[in-house]
Amino acid sequence: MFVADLKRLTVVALLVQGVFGCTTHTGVFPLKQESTYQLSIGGPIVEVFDVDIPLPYLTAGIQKGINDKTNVFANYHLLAQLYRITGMDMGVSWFPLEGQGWRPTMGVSLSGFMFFSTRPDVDERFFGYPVVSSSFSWELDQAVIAVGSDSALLLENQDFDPQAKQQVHSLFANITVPVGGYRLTSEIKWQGLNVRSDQLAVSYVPVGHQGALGVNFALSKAF
Amino acid sequence: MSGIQKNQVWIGRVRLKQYVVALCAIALCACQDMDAFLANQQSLEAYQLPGNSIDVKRLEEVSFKSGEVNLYGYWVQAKPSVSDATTVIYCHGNKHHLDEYWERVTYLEQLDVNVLIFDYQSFGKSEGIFSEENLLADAEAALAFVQQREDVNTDKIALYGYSLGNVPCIHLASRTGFQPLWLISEAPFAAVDSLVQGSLSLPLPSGWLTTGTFNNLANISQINTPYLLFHGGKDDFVRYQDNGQPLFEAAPEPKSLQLVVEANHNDIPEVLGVDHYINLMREFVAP
Repeated sequence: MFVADLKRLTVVALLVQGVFGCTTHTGVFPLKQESTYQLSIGGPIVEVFDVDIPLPYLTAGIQKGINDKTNVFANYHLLAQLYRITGMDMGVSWFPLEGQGWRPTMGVSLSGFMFFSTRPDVDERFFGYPVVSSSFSWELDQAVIAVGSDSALLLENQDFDPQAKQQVHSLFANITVPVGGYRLTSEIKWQGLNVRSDQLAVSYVPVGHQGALGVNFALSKAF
Repeated sequence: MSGIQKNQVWIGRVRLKQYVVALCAIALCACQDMDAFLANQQSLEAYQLPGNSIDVKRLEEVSFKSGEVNLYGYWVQAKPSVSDATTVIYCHGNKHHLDEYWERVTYLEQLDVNVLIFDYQSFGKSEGIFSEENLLADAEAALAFVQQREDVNTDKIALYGYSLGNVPCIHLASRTGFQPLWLISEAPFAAVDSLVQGSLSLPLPSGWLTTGTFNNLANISQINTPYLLFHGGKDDFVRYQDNGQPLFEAAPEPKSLQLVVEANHNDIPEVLGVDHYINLMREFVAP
């Protein structure tokens, strides 16, 4: 009972606050000269009150194609603000290989996740890390299907766990379809696939004993 | 609509309601520190001592002050046949009041000791507000209460902490001017940041999610008493590798480790077998 209650109530708060890397991957093809704005929601699935529910991590962002092979993007992490954490990520995507037929569009991204705590009495106010991503996308009629990976490169060691990973890897698959004048991206993600997650203070939905399954959605619109 | 269809609709509504509750819980969590979740804030009229097997003649509900507020607890007198008994201050875990932790009182009592278990501020019948500062003050108050009792040999006071209860126990054992006879820790966390960082797989800076540090690792090297650590190898809340292990390594000698490979956070006595668990403690306290 003790553990169960704790898992349901206690550290869910932590997770919501801490799933900093949760943004739907909408930049899987070159926008060329187009610009888009987007709203993304989702995160790892955790158990709360006997219900497995994706965390509603909310971000708002923009993307802009600066040439035929390059996008730049930035996202503001809205939910983190509730926890007195100002968070954003920004980066650049490069698409060296354009898709043709079954050959996918290949992209690589480099982004920086940056967080700033506005809580009083905090010794360290800044926390950040780079993320390297790759993606392969296919256009099927009006839909775009994509698969890819993220690698968060943590710049510091954890204070207590000498075995903690400094590179945290994730895989994702998503589909983007037009909905009215918008694009809806639905994504499933296996976060932290190289991290054992069955002995943590949070009840994730792992694959085997590893990582956490998550669900993300994004609505984007060209402007 | 058939009965089966009605049932499916009803189940669907229940699930939807659960999802709404879960979402609300997540939203509410956003407004609080983790510290608040360590506390027990349900008011209580009376303790029930579920599953008590101790002669009620040896039980006494007690109250003492921690600052301006009243704390409540239970004093368990050692068996009449025991003379000059050691007194154990038992600091229990989080979220629940002492009723939920009473079972371990019945184990400790079998060591032929006096036992004081008490509720921290905001737990059970105790008044006040939970915070790290108040938690430590409550432990100091409990020690003062014990030391003032005429039936206590003040040279024979020992400490037993379970989970969160290790924070006040290690605090007491590490302070100057008090040397406990021994300290037994069960399932301690190294610090609240170890839980945060482990759960997120991120080296998040200290204090971003909590006000208190609850840092046992910072204090453990200061204890000056024999130390016994119980930790479950399958503890799925306070993982051994980043909690029990660094604590044990930092603790000074003499120290002893019981890593119970198959145990989780709250079932070490059951996995070991209660008699074996008690015997291990008995061997430690009276080698």
